[in-house]
Amino acid sequence: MRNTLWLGAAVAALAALSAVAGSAQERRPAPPGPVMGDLTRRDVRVPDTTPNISGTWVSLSSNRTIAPLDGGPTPFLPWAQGYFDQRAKAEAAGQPLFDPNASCLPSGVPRTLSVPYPLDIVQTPEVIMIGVEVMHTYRMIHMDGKPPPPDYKPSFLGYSVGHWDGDTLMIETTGMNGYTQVDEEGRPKSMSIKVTEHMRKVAPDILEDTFTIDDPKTYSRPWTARSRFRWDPKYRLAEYVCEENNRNKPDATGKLRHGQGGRLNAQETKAKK
Amino acid sequence: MIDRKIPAAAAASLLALATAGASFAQNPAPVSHEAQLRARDQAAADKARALIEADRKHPRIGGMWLIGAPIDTIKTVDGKLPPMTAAAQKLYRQRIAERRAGRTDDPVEACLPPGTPRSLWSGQKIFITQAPAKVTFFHQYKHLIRHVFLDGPPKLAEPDPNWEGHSSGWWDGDTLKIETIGFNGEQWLDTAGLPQSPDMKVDETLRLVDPNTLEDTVTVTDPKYYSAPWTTKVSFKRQQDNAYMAEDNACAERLLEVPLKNYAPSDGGTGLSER
Repeated sequence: MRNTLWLGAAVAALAALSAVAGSAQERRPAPPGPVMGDLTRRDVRVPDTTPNISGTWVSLSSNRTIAPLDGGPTPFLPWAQGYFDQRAKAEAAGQPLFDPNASCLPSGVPRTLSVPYPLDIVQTPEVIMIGVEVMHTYRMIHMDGKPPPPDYKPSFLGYSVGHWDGDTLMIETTGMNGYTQVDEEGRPKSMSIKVTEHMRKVAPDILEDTFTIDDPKTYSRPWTARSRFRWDPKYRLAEYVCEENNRNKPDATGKLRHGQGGRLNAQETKAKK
Repeated sequence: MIDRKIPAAAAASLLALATAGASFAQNPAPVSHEAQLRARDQAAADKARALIEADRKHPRIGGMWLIGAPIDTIKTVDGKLPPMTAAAQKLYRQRIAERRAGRTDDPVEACLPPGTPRSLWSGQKIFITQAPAKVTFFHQYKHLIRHVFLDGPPKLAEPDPNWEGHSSGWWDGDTLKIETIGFNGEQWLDTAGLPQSPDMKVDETLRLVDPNTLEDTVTVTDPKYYSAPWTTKVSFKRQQDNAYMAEDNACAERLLEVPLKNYAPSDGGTGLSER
């Protein structure tokens, strides 16, 4: 069965190749050059003197835990220690506590810096966009130096302001809502948290982000952690649709919505042709 | 449709491998990893120069854009309904009737991505970044991202049908042409319920009418549901408040079984007892 399918696929591929070799080429002007990797992922208006951190970066630091870089204990305040311990206990008992991530909501900062999913950075003079594959979201780093607008409503990813200090992108993020945690393991945070990031290339293909968590309502002192990313010019951020897991949810009438597994159907339809 | 790019990609990578192998054999002298990276950087920079110079002359379509008014029922440029096949008409009527009756299978109601081209007329801001090799649409709606690579095929190592499709583009004079294929065939093209099949192809022409008006001419080709390709046109106004776009997670929050509360007890949340 499998062999027949493969044979079919090979024949189809050959047919597609010969059928399209002409038409696609005719319609589309030849691109002006081969793939540029990351060098052209940023706006031409960004001055040449600005470090180029644009492109796709694959995490080298994916971890459930974001802990102090100095190897010391996390400086929890008593309530935060209790929160952390209770989550650990619940998890050990096989009954993990609720995490908004499980309902397709964004992870917030700094948790997005330790997930095993890539980032896609685009630099413009006004804003540096950091696309986050997981939970399909992005961070906007505002380079205008202005504080959040007065009507700013706390959000999952907060409001980030950045500036260049030599070769380092300094980012300050505040205004996060209280729904997320510092890490997956369960270090909590309050709405007062401020995350300061120092992002720079330590090698042509290594981006390092050293970030300090300053949350006096949760930790007795600011503490610092670090994430590293490797440049991957071939990787293209995929469409991540957490909500597809919601599709089998019954509606009010008890009927299954998209209950047939539409994506599978689409692929089956294709395979049958 | 997407399959057609795969054999070419495979052939290209085989060629690349062969070439790499040959040059490696001729140059066995060890080079440090760092030096290799710098050389690659330099080679890429050299290749990029032409693209960068070209992009300096392109109209600036980057920035924050908003459609005049969201469109629920898409009409062609002639003001007519798209030329639906009998199957499409049946689906379309059924979807309109179901919504009227208060129940709908609209994937957007289940928080699924509007995809291409529906996200263009969903009525929320779109932040476009314009780089010489990539144009990116950052949608305010659910913070969805659509990447338009300006380097042509191949797009993917394997077909991966999805909601936004797979877009590639190129500049044609002052207009940006975008071709998108590789859909999962599940999304509706508008709120009314125009259907799509996995073989749908969307061609777009983006044109800056004036510095503050961006026009997107969208042509949908999908013989399963439409007897002929059809074209519609939308236009966006540049937003002066360029730097601020709040995320919209209203849909995901609506689907939560447990109402969202602040986690941190220091903020008045319950945290510990919440499951």
